Amino acid sequence: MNCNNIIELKNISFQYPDEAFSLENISLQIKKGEKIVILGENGAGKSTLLLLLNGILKPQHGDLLFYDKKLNFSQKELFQLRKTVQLVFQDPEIQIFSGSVYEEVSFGPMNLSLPLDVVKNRVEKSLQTLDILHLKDKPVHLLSFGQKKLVCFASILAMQSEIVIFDEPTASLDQRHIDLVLNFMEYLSTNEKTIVITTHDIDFAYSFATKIVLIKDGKIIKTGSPQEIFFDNDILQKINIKKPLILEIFEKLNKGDIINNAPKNKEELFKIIEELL
Amino acid sequence: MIYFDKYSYFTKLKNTHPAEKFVFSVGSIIIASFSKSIVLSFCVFFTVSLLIVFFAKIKLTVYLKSLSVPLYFLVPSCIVLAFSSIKEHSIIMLPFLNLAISHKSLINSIFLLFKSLSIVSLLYFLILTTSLTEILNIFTKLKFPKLLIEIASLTYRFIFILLDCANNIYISQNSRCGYGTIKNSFKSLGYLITNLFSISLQKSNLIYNSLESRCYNGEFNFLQKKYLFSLKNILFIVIFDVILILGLIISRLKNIL
Repeated sequence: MNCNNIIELKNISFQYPDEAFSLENISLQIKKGEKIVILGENGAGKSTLLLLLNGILKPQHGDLLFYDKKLNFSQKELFQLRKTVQLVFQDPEIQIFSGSVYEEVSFGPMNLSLPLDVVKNRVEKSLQTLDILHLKDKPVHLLSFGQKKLVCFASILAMQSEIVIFDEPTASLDQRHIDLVLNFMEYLSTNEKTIVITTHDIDFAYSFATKIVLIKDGKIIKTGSPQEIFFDNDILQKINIKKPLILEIFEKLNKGDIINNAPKNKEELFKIIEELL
Repeated sequence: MIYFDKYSYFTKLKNTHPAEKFVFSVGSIIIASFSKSIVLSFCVFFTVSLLIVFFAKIKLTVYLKSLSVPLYFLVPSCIVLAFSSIKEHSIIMLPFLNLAISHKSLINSIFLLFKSLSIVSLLYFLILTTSLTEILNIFTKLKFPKLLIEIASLTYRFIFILLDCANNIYISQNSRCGYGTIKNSFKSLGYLITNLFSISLQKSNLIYNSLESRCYNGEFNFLQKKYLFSLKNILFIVIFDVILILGLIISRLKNIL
């Protein structure tokens, strides 16, 4: 039935060597074209989960299925997995290791052993897509935080992977850069990429996601559509998450069948308000 | 001065082929180091300085400031070299120290000063017009050991991260009066160093993760920017170096005569 899973985690458990933190019994399916948002408090295990998806951390128990085939963590398989799954880290400082923007962006595609002109095309196209072609000869240490973040996006985009994972992409950015990030997400999803994001922006999570994963203390508490999650008041309280503002307003307005008519975004909410007036 | 390298990204010569700049600078350094005449060394120093200021469009203040760094070492050592034990033809004498400056030793030390300055200016020409990544690319083409080049390129990037990190810790300590008394200063400095060490370890792990996730296979492969050779520049380099060699020969011949 689930033959369109790109990645499936099956009862995965992971513990850091110093036993400081562990993930327990994680099961998650990632299908093509899905937009998955992982919500949870700081230290709930979101970032660890993302590292597992990329094969950087090796789980102690459970299976990682990659296109329905069990991953044995051999170098060859990991290469294939990482070619398919790309990870944008939260802190651009740790992702960027080269002195120049152009070299940084070319690092990933060069590792895929593509012909040089293909690499060049990819690098320039992804810099163009993010509108940072003018930064290409600049030294990295003279860029602003927001610009560094965009360079990270470009270097991941140049990999042209099936799945793109973002670890808190909008953290400590100004409004202009947040908008750029959100535009980039839209761009990826119109290009039929599969996206996995961790975030604390509930409103964004609600309107963007097709699937939401709630995680607390290293365990997945609930997985479901945004409607399923955000109308479940008990679970929201348990995980200390507020309801999206759109839904709160909608609930105040309407006492009928809330779940099926709930607005997905601001525009839909405005329409409902206009109809009521 | 920490961000000294940023000038190489804004100079007029940033789009010239790095190999041209490298050959000009290193070739001339080799020739200039054979110089035995004050005039020749001074001429090299003067022309290269003109090139840096008017051709590469590095601000004069920036250039002078960067020259002041080696001068701190050069001037005192040249002064010391000028002194020798008292002889008959001394210009200045310090009899109580049994030291004097003779005509010959004075000229010798001035010559040394200008010779060093001519080589320093050529080196600055390279540093101020070529970014470190480009210089390392040249070393790659010259088949230097890959390991050394990779270490150099990583060091270049992480120096800035380390400095940034140390600076942030320092500010956070200082804003809480961590350097108020001498005793506290020592304590804070200790914390800063230990903290910096553990942060470096932690960050290096995280960076390794980020490399792994982009299919890192043990080698850093980058796409290198393409530059065009310019006939004008090559001609200029050849003419400059030929003149330099001619000057070298003439000054040596004069010495013999």
